[in-house]
Amino acid sequence: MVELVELTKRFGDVVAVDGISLSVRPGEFLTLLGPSGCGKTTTLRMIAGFENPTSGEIYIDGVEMGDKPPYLRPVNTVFQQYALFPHLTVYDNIAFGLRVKKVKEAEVRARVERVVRMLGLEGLEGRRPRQLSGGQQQRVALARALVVEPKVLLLDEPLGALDLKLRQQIQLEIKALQNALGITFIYVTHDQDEALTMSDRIVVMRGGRIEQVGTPRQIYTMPETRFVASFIGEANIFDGIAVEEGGTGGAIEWKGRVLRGRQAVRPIPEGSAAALIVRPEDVCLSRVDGEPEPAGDELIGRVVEEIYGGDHVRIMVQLTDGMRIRARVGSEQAGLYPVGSTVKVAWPEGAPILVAGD
Amino acid sequence: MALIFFFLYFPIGVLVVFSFNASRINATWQGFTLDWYRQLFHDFAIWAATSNSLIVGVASAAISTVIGTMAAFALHRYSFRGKAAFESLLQLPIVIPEIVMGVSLLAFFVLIEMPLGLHTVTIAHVAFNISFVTVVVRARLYAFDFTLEEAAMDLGANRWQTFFKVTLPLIAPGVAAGFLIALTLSLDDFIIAFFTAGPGANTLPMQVYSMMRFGVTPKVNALSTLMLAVVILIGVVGQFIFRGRKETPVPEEEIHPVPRGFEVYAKAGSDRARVPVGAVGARSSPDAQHLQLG
Ligand SMILES: Nc1ncnc2c1ncn2[C@@H]1O[C@H](COP(=O)(O)OP(=O)(O)OP(=O)(O)O)[C@@H](O)[C@H]1O
Ligand SMILES: [Mg+2]
Repeated sequence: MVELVELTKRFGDVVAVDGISLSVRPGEFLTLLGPSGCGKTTTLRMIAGFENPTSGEIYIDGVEMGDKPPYLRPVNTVFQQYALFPHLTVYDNIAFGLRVKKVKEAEVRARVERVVRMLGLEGLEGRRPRQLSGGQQQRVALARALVVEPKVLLLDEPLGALDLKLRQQIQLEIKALQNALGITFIYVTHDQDEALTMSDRIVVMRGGRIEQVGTPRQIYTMPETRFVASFIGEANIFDGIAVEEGGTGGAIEWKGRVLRGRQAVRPIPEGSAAALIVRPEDVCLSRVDGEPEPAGDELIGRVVEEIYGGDHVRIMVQLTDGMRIRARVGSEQAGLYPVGSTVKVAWPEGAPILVAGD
Repeated sequence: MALIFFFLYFPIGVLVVFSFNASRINATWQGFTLDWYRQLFHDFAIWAATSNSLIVGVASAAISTVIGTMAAFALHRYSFRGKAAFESLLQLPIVIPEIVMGVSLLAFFVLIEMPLGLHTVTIAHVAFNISFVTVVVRARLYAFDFTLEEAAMDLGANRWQTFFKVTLPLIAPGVAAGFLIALTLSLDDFIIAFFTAGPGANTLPMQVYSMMRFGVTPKVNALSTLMLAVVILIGVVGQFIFRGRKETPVPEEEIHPVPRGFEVYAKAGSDRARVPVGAVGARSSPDAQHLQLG
């Protein structure tokens, strides 16, 4: 549906997007995820036609876009600040895209009414944008883009300005809408939870490049780089050196110990920097009597914090060699590891993931 | 402060009052009359001058509004070599003494052997009005969100549709303000018109001047009072346009406080264009007036 080939954008000395190639499937909900300044908005703006690539190509529905202006591309954008026309009513805002294409007024009315109903905007048609709440404005922005029936909808942090509750609600609405319409969505966010809940696939970006592309599950359980592992979800990261390990597993040497994990997706040469990722929910704790002191290969530490979270409990353990470990255990274990107690930290074999170090 | 207001408005008040005085001389009040207005009405030279002033005013305001708006856009949106120089040159007429402009324009018209007439006054007025329009429209552009243009194009509007359906309606108050200021400045101007008008092309201020040679008669007072009324009327209309549209896209408080080039305008406005600008804006301070206009 959308095909990016070696796409690069420079602003003077700044390389905002650095040769990314990506293929977006028809009807897919694809999310660009990454920290601030990694080039998400720039990528989206090049697809929409607001920026010309420095080099590389963009194909939409098989057609090379070249320097086609935005009004000739079969894509529409939902802007972060909505960009509703302040001098027009909600109705006229939504009708705008149809009217500039000289659609007959009767058909305009029918189509506007349909999206108004679809997005629950009934009764607001006569209002001006500034007389709407943030959530309503957001829906008008969606309606205005959807009414022209684009092949691809581009959304740049469309929920960034909303509070958490409303955000979660509209997340579900947008996802349902996308399912119902079958339109390809390219969605930009720097919120990993949002990306995990909504996407069919996630593209993790960093410094203008793509780090990893995959389903939310793949990204979370099989991160290919240290950055992806640390950016998505919580992680305890042990930085060490890759060492030889027979069989299907991998291992690192960390502070004189050998820690074993699953083989890395991208092979790591022996002797180079590697990191072992342990998710907090994989950490198992057990009480140990006496003061924490180093004991062979085992990781021993003292509980420094316990936070009750309803269905779970978060526990912070300070290991004897200084590193802090985050654990997340079921709420039935609340109170078992009081602050100050000594615990042993372990995890099931095969739970940790091995990735190349930075 | 009160003293300033006194010096500013007392003479004007006296002028207005004496235009209704039954006496020939301006010294004593001898009863109410509309005679002087009646005489004005029957004076052919005054009608001719009025129509000249209106032609020059409307034509020069319209032309300078179009050119000034385009210049404001160019300056706002593009950066090009020599932009700073271009900008300063554009704003220079605001501070150049009028007499210098008048003399130089006259010399220019003589040089290119253009016969003097109404058209030369119009060209001269366009020349200095462009600066004012550009500054006022630019102030509006500072507050204009250009993502709205992107949104329009994204929805399929080409550049023309985007300009006429989105950009222009949103900057219209600034453009209208530019037009009204250009109009009042043109109606108000004496010096430049004096130098560049040909024989028989008297504008109203020139007419007043020529009548003054016979002393400040109540007739002159009456004519001045009418001019004052017209300029105030334009100001009120201006206020109405800006105030009446409560849904104006950019609320007053969002307007860029003091855009670049604005200070010059405020300064120039207070010496050169005291009457018209004061009439258009609020009476408090020059800055406040311009913020409302922009
Ligand atoms: N018009 C521009 N001129 C110069 N540099 C720019 C321009 N637009 C973006 N950049 C730079 O390009 C890089 C990528 O910017 P971009 O807006 O794409 O980031 P982003 O991933 O959308 O970040 P955020 O999450 O903060 O929105 C940044 O370093 C930014 O400073
Ligand atoms: Mg961005």
